[in-house]
Amino acid sequence: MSIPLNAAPGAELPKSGRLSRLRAGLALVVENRSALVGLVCVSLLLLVALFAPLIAPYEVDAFTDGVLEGPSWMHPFGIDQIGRDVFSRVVEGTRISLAVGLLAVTISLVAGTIIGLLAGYYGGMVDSVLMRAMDIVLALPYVLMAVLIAAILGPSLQNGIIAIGLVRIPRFARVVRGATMSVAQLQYVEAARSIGASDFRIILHEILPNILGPLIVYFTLSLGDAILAAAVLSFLGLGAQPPMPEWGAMLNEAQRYLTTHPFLSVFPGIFIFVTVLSFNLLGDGLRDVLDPKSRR
Amino acid sequence: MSNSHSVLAKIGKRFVNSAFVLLVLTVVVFAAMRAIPGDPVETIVGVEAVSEETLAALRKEMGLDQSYVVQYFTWLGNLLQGDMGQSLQNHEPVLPILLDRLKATAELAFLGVLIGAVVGVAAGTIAGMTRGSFFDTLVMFVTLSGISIPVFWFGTILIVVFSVYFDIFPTGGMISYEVSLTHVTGFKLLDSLLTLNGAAFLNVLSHIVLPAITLSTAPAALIARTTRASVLETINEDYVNAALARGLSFPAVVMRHVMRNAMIPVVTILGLEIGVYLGGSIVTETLFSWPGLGRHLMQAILAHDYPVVQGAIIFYAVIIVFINLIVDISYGIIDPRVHA
Repeated sequence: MSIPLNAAPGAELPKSGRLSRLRAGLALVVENRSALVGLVCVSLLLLVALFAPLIAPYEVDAFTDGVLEGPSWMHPFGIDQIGRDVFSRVVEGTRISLAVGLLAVTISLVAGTIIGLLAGYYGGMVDSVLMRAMDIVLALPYVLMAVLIAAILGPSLQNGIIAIGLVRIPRFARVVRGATMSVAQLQYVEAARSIGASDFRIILHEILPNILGPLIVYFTLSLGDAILAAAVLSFLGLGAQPPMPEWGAMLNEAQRYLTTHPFLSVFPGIFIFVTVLSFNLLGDGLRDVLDPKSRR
Repeated sequence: MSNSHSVLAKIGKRFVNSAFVLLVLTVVVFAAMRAIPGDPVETIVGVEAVSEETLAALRKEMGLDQSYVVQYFTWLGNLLQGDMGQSLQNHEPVLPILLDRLKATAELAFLGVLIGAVVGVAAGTIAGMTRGSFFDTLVMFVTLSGISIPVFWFGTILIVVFSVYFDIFPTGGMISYEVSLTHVTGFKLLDSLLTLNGAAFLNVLSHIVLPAITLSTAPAALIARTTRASVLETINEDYVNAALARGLSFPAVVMRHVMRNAMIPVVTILGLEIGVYLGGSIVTETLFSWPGLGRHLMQAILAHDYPVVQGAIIFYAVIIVFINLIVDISYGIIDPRVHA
């Protein structure tokens, strides 16, 4: 994506008036092509998830009159090995994947933000201890974390969400810590301290609102990653279990029919791909708007 | 200003840090394995009806009658001596199996990252040099897709197209049963070269192509984006203009000055994301039935073979921590401005 340079002056947004700031921000998102495409796709996916029962022509576990049939007018994505309409299952899967992504990233966001704020604000020993702990979590990729959790608690979608959420905590902590450290030295924080504001108040009212930009960007980018990770875990058998219409779990089931009925493996995969791509486009675009310095 | 003493001190500090991280991880893994519901002894004995006395004797033999602290240090001591216990499935020692599997993983990962690096650096450099061009836009879109595509689904599509439909490559495995190969190093591609076994080489190569391409997508995409960004940063530097002014040809300047400086962040990113790629290799191995560490781990977890699970996780953690350590150290040496 060649992103126009004029997307950069996010820092020049007017400081007063939330509404005008919001409008200016929205204008920048619309100007930025990748952000716009991402925004439109994410909105569409949200609509599909919201109205899934109305869109899906069949119940997710209802049997139709065929078995293992390719795409047709009646069944645009075909019929699976036990006679279920794949289109209806993929539509329902949108709900699951978006919910899973949101839940997992919310775990990372809340825990990572608290840890990052504490480490960045207090520094010193607090910082060292917290960030060392984060290093330890970072040494385990999410698949291994999921393996550990699945070994103890058993494989399930819920445990997959916990694994994905846990693994991303250090990344959020690092983003928040860095932003906190740069904001904490600014004059208005100094000013707040000099009029006797408590640490808690400073963190909540002065620092947190000013690190929201990078946080929102990272949240959006993480959503795509988390949805992808959840699909991978389900594909490996460590996440959602059949007959749940989770996209990764559907691909796992379709694997046995790969050589004879490859169409079963096509549509859930396309939906994972498009969903993750949409969140990445939106996140990349938001980064240009909200956090122009961190562009890579 | 850094002198050799402070560099050594920094390396030492990093080393202690890494050792500490690994030590805590052994505690985590040990605790996790003990937290698994069910009695390990009964798991081993299986469905056979055994008397309480036999169970107690087995427990004593395995040291399970002692406190967790004693058990942990016994286990850690054995681990440091290379004893990871026995597989519950076939009662073979865990370490030699894992080392053998690691070789298959290393061959695949090496080829995957190599393909990713070559494609990524080439695409990223050209995109950076021709900023705003059609090719640049294309590279940026394809790489974002490369980051977003589910690895296992991309591999599935490759299998459908190249194995099922065109029947060019096998759907999985590492070497066909009928092909014989003399064991030298355990690395199959290398062994077939060393023994001048052309048939085996081609056979392994045909097996490795699809999984290697699958594995290469994520690193290729990330390397292309990082290379592009750093080429953009370097290309306007004074020394690049100076080299051009001295009459050096454009390709020579790109090779000698732009690429060289652009490589530092690329190496760092590669090192830092190693955990992600290893995660990807677990998925790729499972999909292509590649007899590596990742597939072995997945089979062990489904078979509740906990000594193998425990050993494999520690294996992965050691690899990740070790590579991060090397990247940290080398980055500090290449670029003295970095104060770790």
